[in-house]
Formats: sequence, structure tokens, C-alpha cells
Amino acid sequence: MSAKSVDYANIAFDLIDEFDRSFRPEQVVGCMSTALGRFGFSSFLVVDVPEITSNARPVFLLNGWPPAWAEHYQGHNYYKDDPVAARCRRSVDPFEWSEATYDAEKCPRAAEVMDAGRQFGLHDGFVVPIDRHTGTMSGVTMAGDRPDFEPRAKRAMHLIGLYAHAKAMSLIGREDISRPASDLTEGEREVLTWTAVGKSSWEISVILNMSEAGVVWRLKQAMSKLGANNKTQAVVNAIVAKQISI
Amino acid sequence: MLHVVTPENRHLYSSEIKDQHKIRHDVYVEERRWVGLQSRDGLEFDQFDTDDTVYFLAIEHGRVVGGSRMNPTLKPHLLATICPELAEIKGIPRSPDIYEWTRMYAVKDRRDGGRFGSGVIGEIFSGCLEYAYDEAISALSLQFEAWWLPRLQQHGWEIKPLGLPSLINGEWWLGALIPITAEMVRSTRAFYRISDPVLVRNGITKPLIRAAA
Repeated sequence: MSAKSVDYANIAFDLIDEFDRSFRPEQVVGCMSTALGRFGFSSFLVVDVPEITSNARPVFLLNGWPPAWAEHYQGHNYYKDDPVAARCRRSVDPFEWSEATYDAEKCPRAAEVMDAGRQFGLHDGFVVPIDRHTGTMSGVTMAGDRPDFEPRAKRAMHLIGLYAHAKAMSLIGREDISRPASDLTEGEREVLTWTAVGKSSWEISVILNMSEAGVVWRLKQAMSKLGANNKTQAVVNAIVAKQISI
Repeated sequence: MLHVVTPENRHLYSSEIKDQHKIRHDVYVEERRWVGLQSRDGLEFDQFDTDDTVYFLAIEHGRVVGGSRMNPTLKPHLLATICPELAEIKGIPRSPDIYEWTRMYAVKDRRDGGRFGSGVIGEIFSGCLEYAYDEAISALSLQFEAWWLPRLQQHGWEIKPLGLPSLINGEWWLGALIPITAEMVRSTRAFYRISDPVLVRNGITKPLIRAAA
């Protein structure tokens, strides 16, 4: 494993961590562009790739594309002839742009799409297709002048693509899942009740024949559910909420 | 309902366990054609079906229709023994409160349309996570085909990769750790629109993670 190979894995993992700390689209586009720059990519796009119908257009989910290229692409309606988009709709495995082959006779415009991209500095690229359970495919495409397609680099790009799509979806806002207030589990109630009568975590672990870490864990979860900052408050809140009685 | 089968109550489920290994043969050997599996008399076992394994059996009208299993990471398990390259970057998680979760399957007629569908897989996922939460398992270690990642994230899981995607028998796989929280159990149940209890614990009296001797 060369030092350079280790870098690619670290770039991917560091970027995934950075996603967790980023909450605005500009932040995410920024750190993604910086990270991908180290692979030789100048731009990227997270996009929906719907099936071809008369007015099918790709839906930009997170836009790191050169604005002039995006405008040119949409304006010329390249989507229906784009061989990269075509392959992305049919594949779950990542691929290089050069692997999105086409029959030049049957699809003459495909070559025009790829040539136009080159005019905007997008000579070579890599795509991570994303299968959404809705039935529509998405993709994360990244392109530049001369990206590094060494195998380990591609695996790192693959991982980045998968997490970038998730980040894009969370920025857009997923459907809110309703959160009913939750009752304590029996285990949580048990440890809280013993806590209420003054037993330590260790003593409770012996009484209930479970690991001490398990006792501490259940106490933590109970505190979280009861909105308490410490064990004492948790006991009080639980009694008030009639979750335990002593 | 999803029945929890631990070493403590396994004697209550001998025939269902046998059914499980027959179904595993159908799914993993015949259908998915996994490489390196051994079946005897049409029953598929591997070295990670041990005395410590916790099984989950989805049983409907007395028939096993799906299932899954968990193994302690302090003992030999799939990630550590067969595909450690999946944990190349973060290392193999080994802790008394981390279990490996593998072999989630459903019989053909209970897959309910779509690759994930609803019905029994939802019950298996929700039930297993609820069990993990109840037993104070802090995280589950699992491996899956990389293209499943977006869908698993839609369940509301935090999925922490352990390494880069690796090519295994022509497919890209990922190893990951998923922290267990009340929130992710809730969001998984909501994802599958499950509002009723799912788990059955017949004859289980002891917690999974016991005090160290």
C-alpha cells in the first residue's frame, strides 16, 4: 500500500466526517469540491436520472457543475442522448465515462454530448449510480481534465459518491417521520427503579445479572427519553410520568 | 411475529431452526448462488452458526418465512474471519456490546414486491434492531452490497463505513457499523409502517450481555 493510496481512503473518510458537520448546501459543495479536487476532478453533480420521456430532464440534487456547462446542457436538451446518463440508468456499479459506450451510428448525438463536455473542461469522469427505492435512479457524477483512475482511488470515489447522495437528500429534506413520545422499556424501568432506591450501577448489574455497561447504557437511554441530564432527574421525571413507582 | 432464539430457549425451536437452514439453502445456495457455502441434506450451515448465535425467526401460522442472526464480535465472526478487508480503514469492531448481524432473508412468497418491499423483511429489520436496543447492544456490525447504502440510510440509520468498497465475487460490498439508538429503532418501524409489537421471547429469562464472571 503506497502512501498515496492511503491518502485516497483518508480523503473519503475525512469527507464523510465533514458531511456530518455541514448543514448548508454551499458548505457541502465546498468540501466535496475540495476533496474531489485531490483526485483530479474539477466539478461534480448529484442528480436524478429519470427514464427517457419526451420532456425528461435530469433533476439537480446538489450542484457542483460549472454553471455555463449546466446551462449549455439543459439548453441543448442533451439528457436524452447522453450515453453517461444512459448507463447510469441501467447500472448499480460505478463506471468511468469512457465505459459508457454507444453506437456512433445509432446515437450520433452521443458523441456531440461528450465533445461538448470536453469544451467545458470535462474530459473524463466517474459515475456512482444510486438506486432509490422509489424506482428512479440517481447518480453522482464527477469530472475533470485528467482524474486519477487508479483502482484504490476509484473505490474511494465510490464511497464518496454513496455518501454524497445521502447528504444531498438530507439537505433537501427527507419526509419527516413522526415521533411519538416513547415509553421506557422494561429493562430501562428496572434499572431506574433500583437507582431510585439508591443502588449503584455496579450493584444493579449484580442484582439483574447483566453487565455494568448494560446498566449504564439503559440509564443513558432512559435519561434521553425522559429529557433528564442526570440519574436523579431521570428518576424524578419517571415517577412524575408514572413510568416507575417505588 | 419475530421469534428470538438464544442459546437459552433454543430447545423450544428445534424444528423451526431446521426449517431455517433449509430456507437458507434455497436462498443462499440455489437463488443467490453464494460461493463457498456447504449444505448437507439440503440444510445450509456455516462456521458462524454456533452455540452463541442468536437467531431471529419470522414465523407466520407456524411457518418460518424469514430470519436473521447475530453473533458476538468477541468470538470468530464473518467480518473477522472471511472478509476483514471490508474493515481495512477503521479496523474490526470487537466489543462485548457489539454484535455482528448477518443473513437477513425471506422466503420468495413473502418478499411482497420490490427489492425491499414491505412485510416480512420490515418485521425482521425492525425486530432485530429493537432486540439490539433492548439488550443494550451499542452497535451492530454488518456487511452489505454497496448499492444498498442509500436505502439503508433512508431507514434513518447512521452507517459508519469500516473500509472502502471491496469487490467480492464480482459485487461491490461494504462493511459498516450502525449505532443502535431509540431514534433509529423508531424510524425503522415508521419506515415499514409497523406500529404493533413484533418480538416474541419464549422462555427467555436472562439478558444477552451478562455480568463478566
